[in-house]
Amino acid sequence: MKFEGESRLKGTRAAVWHALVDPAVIERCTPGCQSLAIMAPDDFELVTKVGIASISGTYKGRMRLGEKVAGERYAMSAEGAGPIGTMSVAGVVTLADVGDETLVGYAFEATVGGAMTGMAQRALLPIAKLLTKQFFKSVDQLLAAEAPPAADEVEP
Amino acid sequence: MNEMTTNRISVKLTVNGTIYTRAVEPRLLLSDFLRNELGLTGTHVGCEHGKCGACTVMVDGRAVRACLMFAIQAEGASVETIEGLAAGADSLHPIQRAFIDCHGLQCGFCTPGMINSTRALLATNPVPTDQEIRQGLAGNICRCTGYVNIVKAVRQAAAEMRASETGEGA
Amino acid sequence: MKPKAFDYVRVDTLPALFVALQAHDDAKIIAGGQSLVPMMNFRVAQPEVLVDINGIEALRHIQRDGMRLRIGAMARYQDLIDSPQVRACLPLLVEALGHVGYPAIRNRGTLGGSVVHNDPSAEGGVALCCLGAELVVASATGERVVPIADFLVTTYLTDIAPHEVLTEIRIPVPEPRTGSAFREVAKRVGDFAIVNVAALVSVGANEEVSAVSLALGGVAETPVAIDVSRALLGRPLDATRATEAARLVDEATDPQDDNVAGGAYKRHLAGVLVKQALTAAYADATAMGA
Repeated sequence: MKFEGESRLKGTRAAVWHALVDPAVIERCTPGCQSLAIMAPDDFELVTKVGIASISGTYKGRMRLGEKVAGERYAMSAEGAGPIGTMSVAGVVTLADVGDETLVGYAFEATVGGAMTGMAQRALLPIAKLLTKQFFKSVDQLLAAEAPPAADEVEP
Repeated sequence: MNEMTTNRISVKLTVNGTIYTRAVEPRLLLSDFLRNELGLTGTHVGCEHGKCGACTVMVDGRAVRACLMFAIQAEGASVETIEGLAAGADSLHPIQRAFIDCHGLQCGFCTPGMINSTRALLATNPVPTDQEIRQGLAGNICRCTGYVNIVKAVRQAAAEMRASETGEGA
Repeated sequence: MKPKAFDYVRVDTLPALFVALQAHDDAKIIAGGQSLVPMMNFRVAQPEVLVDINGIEALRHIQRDGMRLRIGAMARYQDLIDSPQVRACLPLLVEALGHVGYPAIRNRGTLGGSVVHNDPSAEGGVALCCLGAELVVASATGERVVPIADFLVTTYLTDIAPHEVLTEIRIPVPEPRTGSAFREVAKRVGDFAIVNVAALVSVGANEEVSAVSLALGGVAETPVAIDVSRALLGRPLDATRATEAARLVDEATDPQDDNVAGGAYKRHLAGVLVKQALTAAYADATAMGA
């Protein structure tokens, strides 16, 4: 299934890119994140507590970043499991300038499974979309609150 | 009643004409209450999300999924399970007799729920067409019979209940 | 699996409900329970406190109030289907709710609970979108009235806060000479609909369409109303007009793949059901006396 969207953030492409691949930012901005463990560079294990409408529970996930092009894009794959079922996503996050803001686009393929009721299956993707929107909103707020890094600082 | 407790809550309800009072955890489902607290294992547990119909019982005269009610929610209610259907050991209800006569059961797992749903159907529609029977029992899954003999059984039960005019006491 | 342990409060009045909601952070209201308890049985929902509102008499009403019907949030599906008021004023609602689950589900489940739960193809939500319903949301400090389109935010999410409760659904009674139709396709009778459509068509003196309202489920994150008036107003509704309306719906929607059906199939279903529902609603309207 397709899992796509975009989000506009008030920061430069460099600042946004750095934030999105920073495990400290991921931990702070992932909704309900209780812990993030760095298993290897760009390889994280997260535990999050979800609470949206009726749906609640603790979910464990593994996220890997790769194919990083600083300031422009990175690939992401992730698997998560919890009471509602399992979900895995793989795809690309791209960044583009929009004035002095950044448009972050994400395009993933998602597979869901393990869920035992029709209702749980139906909820997985919409819940994931909602959490993703919340994540980007949090990143946006974080960037607004902190001073951005120097614009010419882009790691190889 | 506005009570709150972290452990057990007292519930008083009538089951097949007998009043029971028990102290149970709030999360105890009515299906598990009937089976485990009262030993009435005729109510079967299949899917626990309301789809299969095996747990169907009558609560205050209406067909209800016992797996989707907490026992404490049945406070003050009158519950009828399959065990309460026959008037006595030797006199089966016309629906029960029809299911036997027409071979409307094999393993019997769906049967109590199927019979309770039939009760509910015939109470509101005493002369159902085959299509109405299938529609009325659409919420009860059977893995054995292929449903043909169940429909026959309901037809026979309906005819017998009309003819004898004892009908369904609702 | 069995539900996680929780504390339980039964309330018989709205004031008692608000006290209970404010006393507990993680409180969840249980109405009919036909959506909530399956989720709890699978531990997808794990509320710490359940507040049971089945005893609140003030939420059970079904009453005509001028040009609208006021339905209490606790009114059960089967009671609405059987209600002479609803059958007389809102045949669309009767037809739609007849597709909800099975008799045992309809005996306990409530229209109010369905609206707050907000499944993408909930028959109640689709009918209420078509009917242009308003929802009354109350809290300890007062109440607010929310149009249904604003209330349904996204899948399983509605504009209601943890300390609030839906108390009433207000539905305008359609004008005379308004026909209605509801169509649905599901894998099994009583299953979640893959796609469903509710249509209201009003006709004038010359059998021209004077008003139309159309809502769909299963094609978006929530039930949605789609405006097809520019394809239909002022003319009789024939196959060409119905096809044009279906084209407008196709342009306005983007059904997604899910575990039950692919987006392309849903798109196809929507086209077929829209045409069927509009045609049937129009026939229903023209059959009524002037």
